[in-house]
Amino acid sequence: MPWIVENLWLIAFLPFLAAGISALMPRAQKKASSGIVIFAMALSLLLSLKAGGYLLKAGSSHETLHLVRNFDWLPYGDTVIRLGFLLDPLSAMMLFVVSFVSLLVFIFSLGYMDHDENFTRFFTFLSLFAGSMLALVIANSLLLLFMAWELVGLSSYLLIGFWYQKPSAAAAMKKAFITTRIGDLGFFIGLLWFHYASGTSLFYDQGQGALDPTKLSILGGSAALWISLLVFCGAVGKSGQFPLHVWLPDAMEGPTPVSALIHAATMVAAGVFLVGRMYPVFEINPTALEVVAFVGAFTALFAATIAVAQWDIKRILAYSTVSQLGYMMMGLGVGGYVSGLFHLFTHAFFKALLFLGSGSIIHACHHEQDIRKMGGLKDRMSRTFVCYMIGMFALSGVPLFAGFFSKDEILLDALHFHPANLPHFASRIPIVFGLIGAFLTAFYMMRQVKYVFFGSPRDHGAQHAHESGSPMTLPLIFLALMAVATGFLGWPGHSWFHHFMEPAAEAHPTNLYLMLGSIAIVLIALGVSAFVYSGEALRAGAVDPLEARFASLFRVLNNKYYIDEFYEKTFVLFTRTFSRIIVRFDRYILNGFFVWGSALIVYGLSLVNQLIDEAAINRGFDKGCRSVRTGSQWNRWIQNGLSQHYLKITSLAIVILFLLALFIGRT
Amino acid sequence: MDYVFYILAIWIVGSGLLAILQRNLVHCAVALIAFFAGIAGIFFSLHAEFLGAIQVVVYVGAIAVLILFAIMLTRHVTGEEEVSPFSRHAIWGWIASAAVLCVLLYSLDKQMFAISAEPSQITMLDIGNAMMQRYAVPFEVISLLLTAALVGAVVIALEEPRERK
Amino acid sequence: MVTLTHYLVLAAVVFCIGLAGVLTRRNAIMVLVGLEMMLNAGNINLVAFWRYLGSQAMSGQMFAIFAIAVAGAEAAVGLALLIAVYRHFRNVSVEEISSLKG
Repeated sequence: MPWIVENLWLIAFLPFLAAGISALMPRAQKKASSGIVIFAMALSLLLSLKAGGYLLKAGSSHETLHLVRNFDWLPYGDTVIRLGFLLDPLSAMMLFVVSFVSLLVFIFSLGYMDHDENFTRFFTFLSLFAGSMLALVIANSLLLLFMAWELVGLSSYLLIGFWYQKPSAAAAMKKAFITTRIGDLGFFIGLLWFHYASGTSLFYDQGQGALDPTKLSILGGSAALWISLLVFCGAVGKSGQFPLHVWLPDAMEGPTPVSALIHAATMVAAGVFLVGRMYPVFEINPTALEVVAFVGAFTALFAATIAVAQWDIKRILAYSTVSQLGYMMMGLGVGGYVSGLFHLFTHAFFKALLFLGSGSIIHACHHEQDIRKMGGLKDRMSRTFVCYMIGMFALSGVPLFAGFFSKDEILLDALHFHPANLPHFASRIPIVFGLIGAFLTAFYMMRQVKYVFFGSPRDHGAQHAHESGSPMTLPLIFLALMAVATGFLGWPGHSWFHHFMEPAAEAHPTNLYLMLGSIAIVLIALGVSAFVYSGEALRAGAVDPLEARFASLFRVLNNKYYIDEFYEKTFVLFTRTFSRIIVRFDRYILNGFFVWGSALIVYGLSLVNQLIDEAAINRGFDKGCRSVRTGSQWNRWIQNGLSQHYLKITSLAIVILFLLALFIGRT
Repeated sequence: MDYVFYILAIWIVGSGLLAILQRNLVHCAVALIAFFAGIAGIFFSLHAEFLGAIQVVVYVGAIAVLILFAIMLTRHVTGEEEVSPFSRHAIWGWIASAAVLCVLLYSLDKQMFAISAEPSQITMLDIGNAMMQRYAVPFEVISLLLTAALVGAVVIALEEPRERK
Repeated sequence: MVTLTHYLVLAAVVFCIGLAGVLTRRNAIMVLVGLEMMLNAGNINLVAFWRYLGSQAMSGQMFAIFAIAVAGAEAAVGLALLIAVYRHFRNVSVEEISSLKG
């Protein structure tokens, strides 16, 4: 077995180790703690590169596609729970993305979190987060994957609520945890079902794993459908798809590097990765993929419309992430396994770039996040501006930037989406939604850029803004390079990425009309947006032109379709009412009715008793009562309320009973 | 190897008597620790090593300390008790326990137990397997009980909230 | 030769020492101590029977383990109760705490 496969676990282990060491460090040891964490991450990146390089060298022969290293974890009786690590193109790709972006985010945090008093704690959590994500990627077993999945959830909880002194951050961390937990419940049930159906928890195991063709063939169509839908529940929660997307924008309460990490490389990618990992199961029943496609397409459009009407620089990016994740899901769902993952790949870089760029802006503007209070930063922060523009072009899908290639591939696959069991118009929904979404994406990104960088400063925070230090700008430059370079890996028609991920399958031929059409849409959107948000609109105190024109629509979008309010009014209210009812039940029915009721009954009976006593018995039986009283004196000695006394009598009684039994036994 | 048993038996009975007869509660607790250790020795002599270890951990380690703490929290640290266990009021207690002892010994004297040819031997591995398989449900129940007891103990011992009359 | 009966006699004696402790001491903590001794006597019996009568079955040991766990829970709750009682009555003498009286 090659060395790298044997030692794949190191990639995930090193960040965990660094987190452990850093957790034990005193608070003042900023340099040492961040140094260890960054060093461990750099080692992980090197190992990931080595793993990817090994796969490249090994070529595309079929048996090397899934290199596994399995081991017995928990033997009990005849059952053995086995865990394992897996190296295949999917995990190699994810390893690179996660470790590369994480490393840059860590370096960025050096600058961004410099003044925070809990600097070491931040790096501990960051390392834990990255480590769990890496473990999730290389897991070759449902159980290990689930453990890492929950660890990712835990560390995101810790990081979103890093500034837990802020009530909004504390609320956001709880919201993120609980919302994803709803999806995880489905995921867990699906996982158990899958384990039960296939009899093993390993994914690949020399032909005996749950995802190996032999095991897949015995999985029935309906079982496969339910398992995939349940697993998809987990992906919906983690990747912020509708209707569980509500936590993602709130997760912006965390420090900006965390947002970059959550939104680019780690947490949200986990859901898409999960669908990619379980793709063979999804493929069995076409309905499963259709569900994925429609949920994704709807989310892509839905979140893009919300992003148009947001004011918070990070919230715009958050909704754009939700929307882009929708694209990825749509890509996977319409049968474009490679295109969905390619978008995940490119998106990780340019979205990390955008988030870190916004972090740099926020840092410069004294933690101001409202784009209405920025403006004119183009000249003050020129390096950030250039990098941000590259990220913005990549996200909008301007030709030759990364997002263009990957989004175009998804649209291409959506164009070829013709499932037999759907009417024609239904199969056109993903491509239509995708194109409208592309228009909106370009529109809101241009709007944001115009507000932030152009015009004149509208607040003194922006007036005194200056370029951030090199720990913050260097990662931006690296990511900007990646945001351009990664696109060329998927050059239409000669996609290296496609060849790496799935050498056997043939990509759809390039459709020139579609490509030109989407280019036109993007350029028009950029132009319209640039035109709308210019001159008067960027003046301080000006109303958003959209708000002026479509006031009520804008309000609905600005309030995110009132979905949070809807949940508040329905599910949360229901839970609250239900628990209140339970408390009432406890207090009044159980405690009130039974306890007090029985007490009252006893009291009433004693009143009746007293009447009978006084009326009937008292007269005639006074004398008898006196003898009873003398008897009671003796009785009182027995019932004196001392537990020891009772015990004494009990043990003596046992002795007497024993003696009695002895005598009776004799006779 | 017989003398091991006799030494242990004398040790246990002696420390047990000391534990219940002394007036000073702290001394009682110390004698109790010796008593628990003796019981652990008995388990070892019966080749139940795992139980012996548990006995040391749970009784000598945890429960004895718990009792010491309770003594300190409820008495002055010296822990003198006013009433001797030999006072007049205790006489019936002594009579009762002596009677129970007579009954037990009498019945042991009458009863003969079939002795199996070879004493049973089990290892830690067997115990672990049994806990995970045959006794899995009782195991889970007992862990639930322990959790409940833990929570309950905390709730009970917590300071009551200041009067809300 | 130490036989099963030896262990049973020892257990009987320990049991009665514990019983005497429960019956004669006034301090509730000492009552608990006596209870623990009685439980230990029971454990000696379980293990001795397992050793001398059991085949490969391990019910004796398993029961002893569970008994220890229950005893641990009992001690924790019992002592917590004592502390609560002490706070209420400023006393842990079982003679004084006799609200059980009819």
